[in-house]
Amino acid sequence: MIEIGVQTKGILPEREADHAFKMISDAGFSRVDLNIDCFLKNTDLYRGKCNSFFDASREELQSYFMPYKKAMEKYGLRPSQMHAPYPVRVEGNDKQNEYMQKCVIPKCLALASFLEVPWVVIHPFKMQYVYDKEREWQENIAYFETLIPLLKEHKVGVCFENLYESVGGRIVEGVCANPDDAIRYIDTLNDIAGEELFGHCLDTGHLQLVKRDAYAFIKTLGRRLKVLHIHENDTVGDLHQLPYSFGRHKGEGFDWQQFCKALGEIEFDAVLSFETFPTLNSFPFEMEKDVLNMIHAVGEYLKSEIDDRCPR
Amino acid sequence: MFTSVLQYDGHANLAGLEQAGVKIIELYHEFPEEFLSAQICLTMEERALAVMQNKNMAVAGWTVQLMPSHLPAILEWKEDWNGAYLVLDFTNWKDASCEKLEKLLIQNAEEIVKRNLHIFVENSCRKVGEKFGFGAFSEMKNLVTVCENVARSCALSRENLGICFHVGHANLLAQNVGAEVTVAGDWLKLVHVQDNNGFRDEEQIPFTFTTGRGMLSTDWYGLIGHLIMMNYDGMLSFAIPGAFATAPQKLHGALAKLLLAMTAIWNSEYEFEKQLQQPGKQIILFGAGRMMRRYQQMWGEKYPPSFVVDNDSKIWDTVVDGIPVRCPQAILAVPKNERNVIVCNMHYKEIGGQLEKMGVKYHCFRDEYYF
Repeated sequence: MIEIGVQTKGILPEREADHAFKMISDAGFSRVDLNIDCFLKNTDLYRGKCNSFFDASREELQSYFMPYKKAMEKYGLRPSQMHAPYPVRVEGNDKQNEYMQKCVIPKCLALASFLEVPWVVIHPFKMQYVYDKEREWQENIAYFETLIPLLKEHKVGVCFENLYESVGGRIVEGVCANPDDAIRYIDTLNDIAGEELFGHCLDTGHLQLVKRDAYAFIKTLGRRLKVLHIHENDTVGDLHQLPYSFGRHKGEGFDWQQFCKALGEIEFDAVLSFETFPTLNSFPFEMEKDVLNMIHAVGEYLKSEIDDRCPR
Repeated sequence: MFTSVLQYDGHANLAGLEQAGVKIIELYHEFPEEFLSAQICLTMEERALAVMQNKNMAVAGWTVQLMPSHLPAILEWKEDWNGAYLVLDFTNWKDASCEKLEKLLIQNAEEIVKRNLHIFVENSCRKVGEKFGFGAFSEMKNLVTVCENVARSCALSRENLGICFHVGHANLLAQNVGAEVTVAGDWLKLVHVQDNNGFRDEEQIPFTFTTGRGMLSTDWYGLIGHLIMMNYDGMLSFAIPGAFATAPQKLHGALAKLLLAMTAIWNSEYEFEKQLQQPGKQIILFGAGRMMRRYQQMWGEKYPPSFVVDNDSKIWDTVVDGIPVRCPQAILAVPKNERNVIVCNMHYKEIGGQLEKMGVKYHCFRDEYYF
């Protein structure tokens, strides 16, 4: 049964876990996307500034996130995914890269197991504009292959997200932006693993930015599609706003009808997870509950549209 | 205080809006040049009837995009407009000028007064292809001059003549929306609220458009702050046909709820001074930085704080700008019924959480509305 979820970024860690998860539950959500990337920000990593949050031992991290676990249980919420810190690789910063790849990511996988998260979204390395796509492929496969034993140990899976890069200030496709590339990564690694440990996280906003068609992308991915990042933008910036926020006339903006049609046809049965923390931040903070209610209402609508199109 | 109105152009889900608690509607019409009087009357009648079927809704007024020649027919549609308003949007009037607008209003003044109608002139853009530029009615100072000249020359006055400020049009022309409403002054009778990115006229809900993440494309805080400071006590009409066109009908009720909540938040900011007017209570500020200084600038003389608390232990037991600084626990030494805690720090969520854990109620000073 399709459920509706929302990311914790914008809500946590600014608040006490109990208050935050109550807010999410009160708005009607049953699933959450845990943004562990909030604890080691991408802006800092790109600048080579790495904090010591993940120096903590696994036990210390579990202790830190125990209130999350308890609050989720208390309010009937379950995590559907977790977003690991990123970038995992920054060109020219080998020391940080080693720390991210050999310490932070493994600890995130252990944490995911503790928090009973089925899928962890890890951004693959972005290397194609510095080197080429083949080198990017080789390095990513080599790294993610090393995670397979950990994934089996912790019983969690990894999802790759369709990403973009910036060339000359302009947004262009990045790793896994092409569905055939995404499938190649997933199938290769699953073959190596001998089981399904890898899947895809479809980011609707990123699709818009690189002009990809949602229906075609989803149909090509099929059952490899495990988690979603739902949001919309103006096709120029990665704005992470509410669906249906753009356009002046019917049919303008992202084609949510085709999105729902494709999900129905592949019998998508997971979580409609909204990655809309900038939406929360755009409105006055006093409106957080109202905005969460709105996001949930959109989720309910999309769910009904998918259910109507499901052949089951 | 602000009163929220929702504009209806025939596409929104009226039942959904009613269920969401929308009580006041504004009807919108676009009349192309070739429209005849009979068509105008029929169109207006049909749309008005659609709203009348919802017993919990009332029509406060109309906005029409028209040509000057349409005005007499529009006025004649109703014998008595019962004090409703009519906003004139002359976007398509190609050779418009302020002098021509004044002449038009003066020519129709008797009918306007006889039919018990309020007329508002609206700021508009000139559109050339896909680009927007300044036209005759783009600046508030020109519309104010029109109103003053008309009021001097006929039966129309501040009672039945005014200006509607269209936020979306102003944003497309990169205008300072807060400064523009201040120029309108007492002539400002209505605000059309909608958002765009400054390039495309998308007519969406406020706070939708950002550059990057979270940096608003429209100065909403500046606009509302200026309206509050000029004591604008009128209607905010959410003119969001883009939102109702792109969102499915089933979501229109949810959208309407969001807009009603938005008006409530703006009204609570309008009433902020009432939070400070609590006799017998000590005003205690949380945050000894820049926002405290702004509080002092705005309210310090009328509502001086007893002390300020801050999480920076280095400044405890010192004095900042004449105000003693203490640790946050000092709040608890003040009896509950004597505390009036005001957060003066942008980290509202974190400090709010801290105060809630302490069992302390609080309000927030939002300097972004005023600075």
